[in-house]
Amino acid sequence: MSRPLRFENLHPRHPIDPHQLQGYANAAKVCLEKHHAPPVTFEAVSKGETVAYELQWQPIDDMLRRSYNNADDAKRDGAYVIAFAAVEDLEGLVSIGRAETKTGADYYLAPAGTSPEDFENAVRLEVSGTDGNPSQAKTRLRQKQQQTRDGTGEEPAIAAVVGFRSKLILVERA
Amino acid sequence: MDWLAHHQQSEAHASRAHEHLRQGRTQDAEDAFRLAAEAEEAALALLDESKPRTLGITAVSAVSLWFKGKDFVRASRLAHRYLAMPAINDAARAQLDDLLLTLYNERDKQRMSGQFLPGSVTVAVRGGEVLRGAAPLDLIVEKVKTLQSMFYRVVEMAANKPLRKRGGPTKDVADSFEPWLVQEAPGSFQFSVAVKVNGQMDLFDKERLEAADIAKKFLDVVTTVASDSTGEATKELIPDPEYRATFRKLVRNLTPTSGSFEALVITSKERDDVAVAIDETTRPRLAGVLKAEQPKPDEASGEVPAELVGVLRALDLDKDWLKVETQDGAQVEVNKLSQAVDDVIGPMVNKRVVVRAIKTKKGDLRFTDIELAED
Repeated sequence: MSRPLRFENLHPRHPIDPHQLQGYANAAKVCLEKHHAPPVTFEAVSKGETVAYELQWQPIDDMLRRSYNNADDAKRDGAYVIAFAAVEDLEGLVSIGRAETKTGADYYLAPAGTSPEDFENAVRLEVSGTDGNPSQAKTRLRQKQQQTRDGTGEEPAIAAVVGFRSKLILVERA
Repeated sequence: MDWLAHHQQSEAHASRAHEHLRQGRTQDAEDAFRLAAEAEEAALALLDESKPRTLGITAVSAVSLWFKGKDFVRASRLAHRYLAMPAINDAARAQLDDLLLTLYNERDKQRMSGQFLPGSVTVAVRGGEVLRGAAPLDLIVEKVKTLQSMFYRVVEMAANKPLRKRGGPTKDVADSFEPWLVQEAPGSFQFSVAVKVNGQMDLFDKERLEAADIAKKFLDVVTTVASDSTGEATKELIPDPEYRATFRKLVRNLTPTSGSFEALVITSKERDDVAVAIDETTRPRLAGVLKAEQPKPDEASGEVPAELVGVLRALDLDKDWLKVETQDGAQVEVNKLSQAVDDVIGPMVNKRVVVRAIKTKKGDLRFTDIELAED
């Protein structure tokens, strides 16, 4: 039995910029609609357990599709919002802040209700989106976990990979 | 205003900056990044050492925003100030160090600007066995050679030269356009390819090829070939079928096959709108368009398609044959390599390959294509 995974309207539960969240949700819809028609069931795998989620969205129009025509950016951004929603449901963590890095941005997670002013106990989220097959998604997760460990040492972090074509959400501690 | 208000203001400006970038509005993006940096630096000033992790994350964020806003002076000043604070933790310190390296590189490139033609491409090899700033030598040498081949072929195509099937570029091309490797700050393993200015360039026919356009043409070729699933956009950009097939095969040689890396990302600092990731999805995309343009077997005369998997043991392009050692140890000869060019096939010697051919009624194999086998 699948349960709904709502990746739109995450604000204010996730206290980060609402426009950014809406942009990510739009990117997710573009990536999803490239392979599927709503509703579609995704499998989330975390800590050896599998959860089935139903993803629902309003069909997109050509304008939105054209706005997200850079496939790599759309996959990255779309994966963010689906990972936020999945990690909230699986781990009870919400995104509390965005911090820029040299080439992109990091998101930090904390238990719902944590003050967004305090990153002291926050968990860094590393996300990747792919159109590859399940095996490629799993390989990507292992690589992401390794990169996360290489990049931050002992900092707590979660790696998530969203397989848009393979209908997979993989979430593991790095 | 408190820390949170400044930080949220910064997030909103940064969000707008990324939106501008997506729309190709580089100048507006830089302006918005500077506003975001100003707000993040104001938030940073309100933090004390009692929250060291929040301090480090916010410092990295502020320096990154100044960097993205192209204000290198404010970025490096802020990085130095916070690196001097003992409270900054190791993870933030490593990121600030990396940002400073990048800022130094940008400064060095400004100094070298007179020696290189405008426009360069940055190549990042990511994932798999690739570490931060380190990668297997074989992997990088092979990719650099393929990129160099593509670069010279772009020059030759733009100069309306016929497709070269054997040997290196002619002296006029090699003397006029010399690709150089320029180091980049490590993010994964990355480097830039820039074109060294050479006195001989005046000898080149400038009416047929604007030197400053080389990087642009190179990027156009790679991005179009790598992302074009129908083949139509590539046909429009590269009307010559021999050049078109050669560029597709060279891009295919850049794709990951063995897990040693995950993606090769090519970008241009001068063209924020252009970026191409050559990854696991590129090879299947190229396979379809390459197959459509390959010679077909003449079924009426008993010809059938054939595929061999094995190690490419020997190759003689002048005598028109190659030999593949199959898994059972047999050496199979494939002839008529008219489709092959040496910089596509040469790097595959002693590697596992897939050879496609047409098997005649007599049992001879006529070459149609070769690519590295996936592990």
